[in-house]
Amino acid sequence: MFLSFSVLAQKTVTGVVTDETGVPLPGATVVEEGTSNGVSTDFDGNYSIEVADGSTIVASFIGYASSSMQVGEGDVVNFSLSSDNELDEIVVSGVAGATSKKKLSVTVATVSADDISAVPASSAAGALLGKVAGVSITNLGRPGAGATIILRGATNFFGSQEPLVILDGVFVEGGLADINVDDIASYEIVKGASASSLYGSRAGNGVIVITTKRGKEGTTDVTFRTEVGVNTINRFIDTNQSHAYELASDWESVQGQYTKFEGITYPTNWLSVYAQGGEQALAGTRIVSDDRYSDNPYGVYNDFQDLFFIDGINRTDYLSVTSGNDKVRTLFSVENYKNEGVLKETEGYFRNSIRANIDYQLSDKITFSSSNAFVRIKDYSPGGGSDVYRLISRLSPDANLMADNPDGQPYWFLPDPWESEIENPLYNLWTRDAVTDQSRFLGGYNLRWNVLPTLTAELEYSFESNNQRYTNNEPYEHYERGGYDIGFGYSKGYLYKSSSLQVAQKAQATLNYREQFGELDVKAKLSYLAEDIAYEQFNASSRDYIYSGLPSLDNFDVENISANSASSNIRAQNMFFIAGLTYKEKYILDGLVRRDGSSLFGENEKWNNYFRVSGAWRITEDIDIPGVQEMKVNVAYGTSGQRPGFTWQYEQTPLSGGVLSTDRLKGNQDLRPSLSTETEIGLNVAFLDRFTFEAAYADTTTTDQFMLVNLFSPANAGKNRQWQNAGDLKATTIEMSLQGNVLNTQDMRWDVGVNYSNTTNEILALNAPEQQVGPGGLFLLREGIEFGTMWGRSFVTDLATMADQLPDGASISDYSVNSDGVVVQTSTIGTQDEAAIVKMDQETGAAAYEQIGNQNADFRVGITSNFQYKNFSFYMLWDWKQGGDVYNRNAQWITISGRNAIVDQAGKPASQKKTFDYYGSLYDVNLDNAYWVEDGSYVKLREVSLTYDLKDLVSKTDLIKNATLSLIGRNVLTITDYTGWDPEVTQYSSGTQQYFAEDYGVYPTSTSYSLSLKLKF
Amino acid sequence: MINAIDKMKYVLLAGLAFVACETFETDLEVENLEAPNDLILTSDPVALQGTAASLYQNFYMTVSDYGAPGMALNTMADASSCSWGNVGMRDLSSEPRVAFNNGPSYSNGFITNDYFNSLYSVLSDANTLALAVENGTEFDNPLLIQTIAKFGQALAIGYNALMFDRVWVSDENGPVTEGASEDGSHPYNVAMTVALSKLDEAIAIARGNSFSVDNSYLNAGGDLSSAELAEIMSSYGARMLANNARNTTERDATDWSRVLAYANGGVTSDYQIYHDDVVWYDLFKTYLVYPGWARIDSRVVNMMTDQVPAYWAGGVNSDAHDAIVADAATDDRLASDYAFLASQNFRPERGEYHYSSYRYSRWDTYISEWTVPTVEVPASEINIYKAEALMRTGNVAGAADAINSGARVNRGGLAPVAANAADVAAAIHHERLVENPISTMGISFFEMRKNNLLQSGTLLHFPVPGRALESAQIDNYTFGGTSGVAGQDYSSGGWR
Repeated sequence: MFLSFSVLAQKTVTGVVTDETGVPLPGATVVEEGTSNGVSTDFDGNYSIEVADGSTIVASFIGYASSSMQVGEGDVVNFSLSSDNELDEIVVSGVAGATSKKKLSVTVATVSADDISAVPASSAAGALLGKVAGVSITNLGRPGAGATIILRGATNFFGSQEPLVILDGVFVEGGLADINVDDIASYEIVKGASASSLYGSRAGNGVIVITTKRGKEGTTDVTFRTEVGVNTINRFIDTNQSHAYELASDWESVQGQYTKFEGITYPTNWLSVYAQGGEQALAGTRIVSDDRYSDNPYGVYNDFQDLFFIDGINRTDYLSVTSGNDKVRTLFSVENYKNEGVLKETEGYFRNSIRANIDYQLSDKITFSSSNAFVRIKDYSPGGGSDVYRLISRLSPDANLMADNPDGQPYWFLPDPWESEIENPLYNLWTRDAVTDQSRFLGGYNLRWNVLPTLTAELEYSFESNNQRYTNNEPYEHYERGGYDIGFGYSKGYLYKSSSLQVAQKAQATLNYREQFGELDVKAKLSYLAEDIAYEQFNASSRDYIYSGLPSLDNFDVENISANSASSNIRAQNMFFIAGLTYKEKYILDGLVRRDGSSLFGENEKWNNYFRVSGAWRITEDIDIPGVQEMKVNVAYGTSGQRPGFTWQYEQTPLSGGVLSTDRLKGNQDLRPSLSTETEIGLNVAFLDRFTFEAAYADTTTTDQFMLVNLFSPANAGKNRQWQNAGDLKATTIEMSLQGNVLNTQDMRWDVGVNYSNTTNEILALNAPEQQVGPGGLFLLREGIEFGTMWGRSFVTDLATMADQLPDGASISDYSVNSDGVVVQTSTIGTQDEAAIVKMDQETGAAAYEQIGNQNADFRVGITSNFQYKNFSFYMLWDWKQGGDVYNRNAQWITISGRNAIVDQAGKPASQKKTFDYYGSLYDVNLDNAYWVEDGSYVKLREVSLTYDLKDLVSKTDLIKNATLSLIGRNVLTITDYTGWDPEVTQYSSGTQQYFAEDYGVYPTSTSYSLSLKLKF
Repeated sequence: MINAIDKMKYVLLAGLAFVACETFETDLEVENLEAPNDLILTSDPVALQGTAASLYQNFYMTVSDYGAPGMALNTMADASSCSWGNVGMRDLSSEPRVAFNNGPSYSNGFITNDYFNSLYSVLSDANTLALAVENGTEFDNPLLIQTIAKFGQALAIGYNALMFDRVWVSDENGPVTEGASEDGSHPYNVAMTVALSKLDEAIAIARGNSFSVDNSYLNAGGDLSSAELAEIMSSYGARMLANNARNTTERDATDWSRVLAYANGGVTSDYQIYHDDVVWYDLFKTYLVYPGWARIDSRVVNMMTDQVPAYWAGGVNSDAHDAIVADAATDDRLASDYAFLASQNFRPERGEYHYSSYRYSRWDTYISEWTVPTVEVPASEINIYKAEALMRTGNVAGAADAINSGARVNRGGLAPVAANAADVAAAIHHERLVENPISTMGISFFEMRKNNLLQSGTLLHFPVPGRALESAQIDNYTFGGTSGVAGQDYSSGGWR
């Protein structure tokens, strides 16, 4: 059978191999797939090869993506290869018209669907991680939370650092965390303030423009992808497994049940839990051992992290149908995504997305495009709030989380025998029910009329509707601490419900002009853009259910129900003109002006202007450089800005529950948008036919920084703060990327990309008193310092400093640096008097307040590798963050109970042991202290996949066009010295609306392994 | 036919655009409809009446909230004990006492900063209301508005005077500049004089007229008469005047006749707040009694039984506790208002002197139910001001009678106090700390302060908050430890 098949199949196939524009590619390789049979194209791109009938032939050429076609009835097979050269990509964002990257005068990065498809991210937020220079992304570990994105450096003291995101023309107000990546065709990242000038007062943080996939003319494709995997925490933190109290002489008699201490009277059938009174209450006081070393064993050991974290399932099912003819092109897609996360007793995140993108060719001159996406989300919050992560590591090993409560509920409410304030994290995860039910609709509609060959007119309308409901229910039987006999009892329940609706609309009218005057190419755009964002929220809450088991607002005494509301209306009118000139295809000049009016600006500053000038020179069009196919330099100078928050300009005497708040803000009619002015210099090089190198230097100064400035309330009618434009912030970024096709043979292809960036942020000016910001005020706004630095106190770590603050009558010879690197009195080492000494400010006599850390990375590097061998592809993304401190608040806070692993003295030589009193001094009452700052550097194998292309299977059926099977890993390996669960830590601060590197209450980033099958019909 | 289809398309598109524009607003003048602006708050009679109704609530929540110094004051007074760092309790009660960290960056600085700012908001509202009445704004009940305005002025200025070394005094006529220092402030004693003059005006209006006070004003469980309001205001007069002294010298120089007059005009039954746990709640009581938080200091327990040392020297066990309670010499309130704790949960490395075998349990119903009334002005507190005023004006027998008619005998089961000055003074001190250690902010601290009993180094009043000083461009300063003037700014005496 095989013999007859092969004999019958031989035929000669001819054709031509060209690039996308039809230019012949001499020297390209054409091979019969799966064989060594191959030929090269001639000077005109022609080839001729004898192959088996029905076989597949593959054309490849350095710098271009390979293309394969099946030999059919005809004898001619032509190939049009797409360039792998980054510089051939077309950009439409931030410029006057569609422009090849070769002719850009500003920096716009692009990421295609191919770049993100090997390991599809859970949402559009995290898909760019590690892939683009100058884009800093930090995962928020909780399922559905997405990631934080900063383009280049920080631009705001107060207010989000997140870029403006535009999805199919929709200004995305609700974030990218709910947008699936399977629908995405491309990203364009307009990084700097100059490039983003076109977007004016919303673009100071840069702009990300996302385009989703659309139907294609002449083909109908059905794509199905399913992925199933598991999430897990593969790094547990170490905790102290010992204590410093005297054990009862017969403690071993109850070993395995509880720890029997001297001085304590134990009830019979004790569960190793806390109770203030009743059958489980202890009597007596533990006796601290004479040596005060935490080196005594517990009677029982439990691994709480193993109980707390689970292996949760994640699953993605995606189906799309694309089709099109000369009149209509459509894409319809459905995605179901489920991620259970890694917390026990917590359901996780569920998302259903439906998309319909439809394009109509209404006439020769008129096209209408619509993009419609509906997303439904259910997001279950961990019960117990952010404190559960700290509590799970603060428990003594002998605490009993799994004991039943007196009424039979699981997870004893106060599980640690000696910590009456620690509520059982598992109980709160189990009993509290907090869920967000959200519906988002994003619609973008564009009507385009080609008025003249040189002139088009566009009308665009888009909107996002975000409807969100949140319920937090604590059932009647939910325990609370309080004046109960055993220390806890039924709270009688609590219910909070909120509902909000935000509708953000955008309407835009644009005239596009493009004409060639001899060797001068002219592009121009004139546009008017209006925005209207209406938001309304209301909530109601109450305590003490009347009936158990009915989570309804009707189930309360009406007098106990309280309600609140919030609303805002944000409007803007903007207009801009941009023109781009290209002379002889190599000299490029670009300029724009924009004028923005916004309701967010103070009454006296309603309109603000922005501009940009930029130029580029394609050097290799004038100078022939051996081995260099393309070299371009560009310089851009431009402005953009950020708008104030809705309430910031107004007098604010908040009203709640019918009474005025006494925390009041003075209004500011002169509040302006912040102004980012950027100078950017860029270089783009394509060389050796297979590499592209891009580099940019950007220097951005943002003036008129927003800041909530303290006022002297007696002189301001009791108002204690005001939003002001109060400072200047400078960010300097260097970014580079190298993309290359290292290997390209008949069976193998290896593409590698490396990107690097570093940014420094300096507070140039502050026209107000310095201010602490971020979680607990750990970060400081002060003129002349780096933005993002941590400030607090520190221990004396050298004898020279100690000599400057010696107590009266003391000698420096009395002190030494101990084994932890802090200065202590030598005579106290190993005793309960050994204590770290706080560094003092000699002028004020108080603890010195100084920089103790810096959350900004020294640099970030992303490395992608995509190796293909025959039917196999092996893809990796390594993400390296060097530097960038993390304040390990968890580690500090658990030291309050001596639970930090450093307190554990078991196994240490006697001469090196330290008392728990000493570690209490390191805890430093949870004040911000340099001791708890850790290096957050890491190298992560962020994405890895092994994909098998099921070509052999596909060739046996007409039904399937393409099939791949992938093993996928995310965050598979983390190399770090950080002692917490994961060094990728960021915590939101509502005061500034920004994220900060403090490890407290942070859902750890998990590792996931999954299997993905993708079929194209 | 083709033209007709094309036209239909354009009509549909135009319709789409129209639908979109229907809800599209472009006017850049937008109001904030979630908070009243200053124009409304200073001119609209309806808004002004709303402000008046919430003026006392604003004051009450200022002194009862988490961001108030009350919890720290209790630990500074050795009335409560807590080694947790929250709200400055540990920093301010550590031994030996140290200077208060008044740097703008101090993480617990909010306990004075929030209190300071909030009281000046109350003062601003009170001044606005008083001015509105003076300007003839048409109110439904102008006498009530005027009374509340004067009361608010008195409380805002008076409670600043109780807490800080200096006060920026203002009223409906603007800042009071006469006698002010260069920075515009007045010393605490001068400020208290102004506060009490405002209070006297309020009391005079309430006593001289008859009007009803809607329950929303003072949330006392029902409407009040103007006479009842006068009693409450007079009670605050006694509290503020009796407690403003920083040392025994100032105590002795206090106008005790005026205190007596206030006390005699004060409440004879508890003024209770009916909490709704939304806008009316009491975190001062909550965290000083909540399991796992503060305990009652051994010094207070020692006042009820000499079987427990005043300074921690090891706990009592359950049997010992039973014996103490059974002892006839023990104040009965140890059993009724306090609860025995068999074990210790404070960290030993933070000082075992924080340990205690008792917590205050009198508000256990509140910390379980949350929407029950608790006392803000106990009649027993006013009765003791009366007793002290009588004693310090020479009527020792009257003072003893007052004490013996109160909780000492009725609730404590103690023998009536003899009519001699020393015993009466001791009984007054006993009642303040045993009967009302956690009834409202500051009572224990003020009692210890004016009697030179605060541990050496304990600040006698707070400096103006560091952030406020920074905003006003006034040099930072602080008190406590050895900062300030001994005996005037920090304690140079002490009970131990």
